[in-house]
Amino acid sequence: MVAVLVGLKLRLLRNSLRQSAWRVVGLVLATAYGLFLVGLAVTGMVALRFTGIAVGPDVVVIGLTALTVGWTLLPLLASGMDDTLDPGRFALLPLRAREVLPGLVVASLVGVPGLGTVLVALASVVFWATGVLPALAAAAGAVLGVLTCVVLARVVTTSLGAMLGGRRFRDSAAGIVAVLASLSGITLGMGMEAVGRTPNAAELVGSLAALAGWTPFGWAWAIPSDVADGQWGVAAAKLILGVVLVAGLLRAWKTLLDRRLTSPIEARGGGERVGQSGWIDRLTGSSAAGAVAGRCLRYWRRDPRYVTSVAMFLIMPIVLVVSMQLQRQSGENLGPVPWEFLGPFSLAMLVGLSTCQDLAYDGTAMWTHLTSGMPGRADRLGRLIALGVVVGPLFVVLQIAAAALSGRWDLVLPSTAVGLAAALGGAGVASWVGAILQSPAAPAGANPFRTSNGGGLQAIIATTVTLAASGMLAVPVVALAWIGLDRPWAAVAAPIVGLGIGLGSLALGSRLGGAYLDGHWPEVLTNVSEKHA
Amino acid sequence: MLDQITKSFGAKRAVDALSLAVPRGSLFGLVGPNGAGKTTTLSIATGLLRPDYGRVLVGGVDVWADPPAAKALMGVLPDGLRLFDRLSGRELLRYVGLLRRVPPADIETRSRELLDALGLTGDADNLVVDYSSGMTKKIGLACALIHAPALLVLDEPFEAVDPLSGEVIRGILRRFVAGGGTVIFSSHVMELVEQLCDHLAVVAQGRVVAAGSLDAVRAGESLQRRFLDLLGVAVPSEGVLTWLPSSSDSN
Repeated sequence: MVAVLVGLKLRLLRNSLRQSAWRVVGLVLATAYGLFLVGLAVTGMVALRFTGIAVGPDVVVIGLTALTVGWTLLPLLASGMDDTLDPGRFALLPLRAREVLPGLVVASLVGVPGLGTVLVALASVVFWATGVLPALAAAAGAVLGVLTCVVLARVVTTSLGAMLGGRRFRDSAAGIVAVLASLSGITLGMGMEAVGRTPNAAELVGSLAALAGWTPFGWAWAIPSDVADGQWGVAAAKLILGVVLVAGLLRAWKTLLDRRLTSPIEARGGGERVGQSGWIDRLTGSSAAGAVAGRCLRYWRRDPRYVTSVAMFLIMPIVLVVSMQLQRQSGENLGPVPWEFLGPFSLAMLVGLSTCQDLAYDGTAMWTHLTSGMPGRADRLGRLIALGVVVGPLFVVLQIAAAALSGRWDLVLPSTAVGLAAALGGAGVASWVGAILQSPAAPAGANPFRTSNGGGLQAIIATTVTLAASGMLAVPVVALAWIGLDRPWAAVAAPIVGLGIGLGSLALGSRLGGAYLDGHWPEVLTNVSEKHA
Repeated sequence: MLDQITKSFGAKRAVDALSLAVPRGSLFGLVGPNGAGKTTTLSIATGLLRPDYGRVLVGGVDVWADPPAAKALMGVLPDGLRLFDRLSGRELLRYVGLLRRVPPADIETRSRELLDALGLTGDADNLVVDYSSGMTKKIGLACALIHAPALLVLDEPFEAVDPLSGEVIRGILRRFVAGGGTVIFSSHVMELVEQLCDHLAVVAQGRVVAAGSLDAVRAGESLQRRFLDLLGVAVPSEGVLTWLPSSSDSN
């Protein structure tokens, strides 16, 4: 069964590569990036081993623990989980979770992140192999550690995804993810700060490694370190803890799998009625662009993918504003710069990203737009209007919060000027780029942490271009605002230029994007469809 | 009217220089086996898929030269594409109506009548994502009708629809044609096409095998019989698939 499933995964990968040249490019890029990171880690460990630096073991434990945390967090926050072998597809076959599980674990390792992790784990065995016992301990730790990475990530994404998939939980769950991510960001920032302040860095690394070794993410990886120190009892305890963790996780995954094998249909809410929400219709009017805006506004509220987007919009600003505030409270001297204003600015930078994804989120439902013969410009404008209605109030609240917390009400105007250039400018560019480049996205009812096999490169390019454009469009306004701190003419010019850049980008982006859509609707529909034949 | 349309996916030629004339005011059936190119043909005709070669004329307007003008004439129900299913049925109808520039007051009355006729009034405020597949077909049909088109292009409109709703839809289509409209739809249920259509075309492997009025194509036989003859279908002979359990020998 293991060989069958691994073979199936390889074959699916090969077939998806045959379908589109984009996927080949994506895989090559991912491989190059993965090789670079793995090469860095492996040479680092080998170098640490032969130079014999005292903090070497601690650094390795921290690094491997961080790798495990990454396996769990990255699918939640950024990439989504590769779901090529969706167990729901085996539901009609007479299989038990017990039979499929080993194959799924091994198949998870087939791929750039999986192979990279295996290589790094092997390198860690080399690192610890200063004697027979440490080598054995390292081998055991490596096996347990890799298993923890794979299985923990699966269990977390599957269970959290199931929760988010159920529409009853969608609002609260997206909020919880946002809060958790914000908290971890704040903690990380404070940790880094503490490292910077401690005079004896080596000691701090040592205690950090000890701490990491006692978290579930680090149990397995810390075993060889304790063996090398001669702390047999601690090593044995971590070995037991690690085995219990993996066993427990495997059991949890088996339960989840059994459920998926018997009820493969994605969660559907039970006949929830919606209000007439006539205010949206009154707000957006009856033009084609208004209709699109009204539809998008309902989606921002009802589609878990959009709700998650709002959560993502808020993570960075909240982390920034709160950690700045904590540092002020602790009497830290932050200098004259009111960093709180980075909060609204980071929101402004992210605004365009959702516009890049809009068409992909529509999926094949966009045939409605195609067959209606509506102008592409109305499509672009409608989405921008809805985005503005959602993000505008958030931006205002963040500006007020930043001003109130830093006490610098005089900076609201220049900060707003910069934000307008970045947000409106980015959204305008995204209207154009998003019309040209799309890749299929997981449909609304599905697990939001799932990515379709391979692909996604077009979306990555589109978001990168948008981010870069938001930043570049903001640069002249930042310069003006800076000069404006002591020259009134620039202080007056900054908001005008900011608004001008923003509106200009919106007008141009929606026009160009709309014209592109008018000429290429069928191709766009093909791009976002999973199937190509 | 379709003229010499051709579409290939990689090496596979899905539609091969297919030409078809659908008379104005006809109820036209498009039949053919799985993979014959029915969906591809209808997608090209409605502007959803760009042909490699060929022209599509709807009421004299070239679909691929002036898409908006041609699309305004057509009501479309594709098969296998999603709807904006986080809207309720009523909201979806209003949305499609507005995109097609139907005056809001007309949308109001037409939606009410359409939802009523298709038996969806009770579920009008539920999200389309919670509809059964038959109900989804019906709301899709309502979306195709909301702007009172001259031509209806429907891909598998009777699939997953219960017999009662099927009869309602047949009634709507007959009324639509009686009022001067044209309908073209695909199906692989011969009895249905035979009972409902006045014209039809049989397609296989991307080509038209037979086309014309119902009686001309039938040539005196039942449509099912004629269909099998046209395609030269071989029923699996004795001696193969013998390992399948058979009811006569009880192991």
